Amino acid sequence: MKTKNLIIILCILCVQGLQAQKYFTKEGRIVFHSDAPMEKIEAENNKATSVIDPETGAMQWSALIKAFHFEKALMEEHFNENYMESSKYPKALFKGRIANMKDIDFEQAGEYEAQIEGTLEIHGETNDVRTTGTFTVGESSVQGDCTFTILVADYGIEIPAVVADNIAKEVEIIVQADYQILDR
Amino acid sequence: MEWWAVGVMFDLEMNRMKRFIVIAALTLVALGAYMAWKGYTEGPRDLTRESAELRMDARELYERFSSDESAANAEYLDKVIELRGEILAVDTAHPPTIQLATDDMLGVVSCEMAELEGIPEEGKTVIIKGQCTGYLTDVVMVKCVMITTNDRKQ
Repeated sequence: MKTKNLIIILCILCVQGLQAQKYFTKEGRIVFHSDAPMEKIEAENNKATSVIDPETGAMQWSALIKAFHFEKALMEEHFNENYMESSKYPKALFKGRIANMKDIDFEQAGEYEAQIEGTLEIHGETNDVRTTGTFTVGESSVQGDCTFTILVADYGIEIPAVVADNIAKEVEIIVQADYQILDR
Repeated sequence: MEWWAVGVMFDLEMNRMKRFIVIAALTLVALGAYMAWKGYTEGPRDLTRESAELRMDARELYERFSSDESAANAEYLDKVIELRGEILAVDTAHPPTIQLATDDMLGVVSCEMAELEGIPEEGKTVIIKGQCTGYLTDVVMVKCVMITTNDRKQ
């Protein structure tokens, strides 16, 4: 009986050891650009969080809207109060997966192209996103980079005609993260 | 009326009173335009010029968010808060960040500092003033400035 218990315990421990570790960051960087005829708008967020489970390829991102910094205080105010209504919708969320995770090895140094797909929720609206990114695996971390564009109108963000030339219909989003192994 | 004619009229025909009114009106318009331009081009919000709406302990703020996020959002989101906390870690990379300790093993109050200057080292207790932007895995404060403990009477 004792031996049987020991074998069961060892089996459980082995399985635990085989579980892949998750990769995580709390300092993810998101920059977005709007290039309109009248004005260039740019904002940066350095506190986005992201998790990747290399076993399944599942990937999540979340960012607080009020943590986007603009050069001009007035622009930041309009962004939060008029366009994003960030008191009502304080976060942007991405839930998706790296579709070609089997081609990527976070434990093998190198550069890997990633097919990313999922849903992006901004301002209470959710849309599908499909794009490519790059993972650069180094000695102690995994760096992720991705650039994609979204249509402002897809997220229920209304731009008054008066400022239509100041805000582009398409916004480019640049995402960067240095993932660390999550030890829990 | 042609612009040059205004000048001529101004000199020849207006009496003192009218002239004064015209100058005053033009000054107000110019002032208004200047203030609008200034507001439009003003740089990022600087919290050293604003007073805090609330004062609390970093641990308490974290506890409120982790136990009931929507209630905490309603109460703290966007507010300028003065937080007292113990420094767990300092990250000097841009933008500089101080992590304040909480009673949770995983989460901290993450404070993005406006400046690197004057940030004490790990283990010290500090008071920082910042804008609360919400909760992900940490409570995130931005535009943070140091309040030197000498200024505070407890």
